[in-house]
Amino acid sequence: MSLKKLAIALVILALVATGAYLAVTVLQKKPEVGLSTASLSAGEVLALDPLDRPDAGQRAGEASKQTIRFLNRYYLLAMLRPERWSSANAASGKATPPAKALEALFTTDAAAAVEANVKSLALADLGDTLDRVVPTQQFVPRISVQIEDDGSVPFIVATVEFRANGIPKDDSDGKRYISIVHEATYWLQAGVEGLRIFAYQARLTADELTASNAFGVPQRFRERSW
Amino acid sequence: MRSRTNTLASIALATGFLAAVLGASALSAKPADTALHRVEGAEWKPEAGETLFVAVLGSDARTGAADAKGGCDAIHIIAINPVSKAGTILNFPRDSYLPSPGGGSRKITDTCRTAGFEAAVDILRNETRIDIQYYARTQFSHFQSLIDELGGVDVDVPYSMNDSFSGAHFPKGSVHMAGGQALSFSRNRHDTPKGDFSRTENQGILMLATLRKFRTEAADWHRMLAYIRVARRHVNLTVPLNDVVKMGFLALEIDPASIQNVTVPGSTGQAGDASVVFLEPGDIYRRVADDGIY
Repeated sequence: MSLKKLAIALVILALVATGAYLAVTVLQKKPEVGLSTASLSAGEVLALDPLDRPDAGQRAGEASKQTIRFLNRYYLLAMLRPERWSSANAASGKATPPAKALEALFTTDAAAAVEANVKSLALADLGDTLDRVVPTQQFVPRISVQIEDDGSVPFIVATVEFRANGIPKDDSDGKRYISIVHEATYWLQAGVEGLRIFAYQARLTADELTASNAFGVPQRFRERSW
Repeated sequence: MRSRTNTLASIALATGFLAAVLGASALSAKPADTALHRVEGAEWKPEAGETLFVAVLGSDARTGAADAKGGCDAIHIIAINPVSKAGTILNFPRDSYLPSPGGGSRKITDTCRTAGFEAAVDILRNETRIDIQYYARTQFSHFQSLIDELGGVDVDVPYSMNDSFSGAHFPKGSVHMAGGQALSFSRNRHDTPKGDFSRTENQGILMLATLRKFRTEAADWHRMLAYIRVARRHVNLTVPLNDVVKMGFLALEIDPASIQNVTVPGSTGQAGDASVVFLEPGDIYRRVADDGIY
């Protein structure tokens, strides 16, 4: 083989090796460490207008957008900021306790039960365990919008299916992530301050642990475990 | 949380149950004819565990408002205890001979016709000493459309019926009824063991059937919202909508089997030229007034 051909061969070999190295590196690259965002998306939106007006769908659509914005606020705090639920954060006293911040998203009556039911409403007990949460599914399969005669929307019912991988701070046991599933139905009330949670049924599962609670629903639908 | 839940439950029960009952009271065109009102000056505190008392008066007037030349053909007091999750439907024959607003006594159905439904509610309150907080007035002619819009209702017919006057033709047992059938069932007094006493009792059966339906379907909150839509189409709700919703939640907690369907006993007789019913309640009123449970 001439020297020229040998040089060309070596260059090609080097390029292939570099490409292979880069490909492997990219595949092994750790997920970008940044803050996850809440970005729920709506499925079916049902307009419940007693007068069956032609623009009911449009009104319901606007209400569903408002609902999604509200639920994004909720899930950002409840599920995607585990550091806020950590004991270190609580000890610092620098920020509003997350449970209190969460209560602000509920009506007065419902807010009173948030602390008791927080294990099913947020990652309250995983604040010290998780480094971050990476959502894999943020879906609101159904939103029902009640429309009054004057066009106002007093109540909205929304069902949420939220799934995520909780990345543990300590992965020495080889466990890469904790599977988080949150399924909930919220009865939302519209007021001067916007939407608030009037009643709810919620179930939170983190691997083998499960907590479920409800407010404003029959006893027979409630269960607790954690 | 339990006390607050009971509060919500209480309120929810009343409304949800009322919605179910009003389902048995009907509507096609919007209200005025069919409405739910709070008795003036009355107050209900579910957070304090107070029993809810609702009077339901139905008119068989063919046209116009429920109390326009129409008597009360359905007269009931619904009592719901939010703490014990139980209650009573108290049924009154329409010819019940009771004190009249202007003095003397007359059939309560005639009081509705001449003095109005609100006057009849006052008479019931005075007679029974039951602290009625709400009253619902309905018109039978609206009955069908509401039941139909709800998809019909499954009724436990207590005995076979074949009555050409009301159109009630049912076997004994569970029957899925459309609106017209439910109306016939609630009107039948000719082919019943005890005439008008049986008719009013059967109206109570229909109310419980509607509650059972609501309880089954509205467990899905999306469906409950749909029920509210139907109610809004047909009922003039002058009570706060918030209370209606809370009551709906509580209605989900009430097993219809825990509600007793009680017809006030009595005997038929004459008052002048009129055939009337002299009620013999015994201690029924006291027991129901006490905690809503007979």
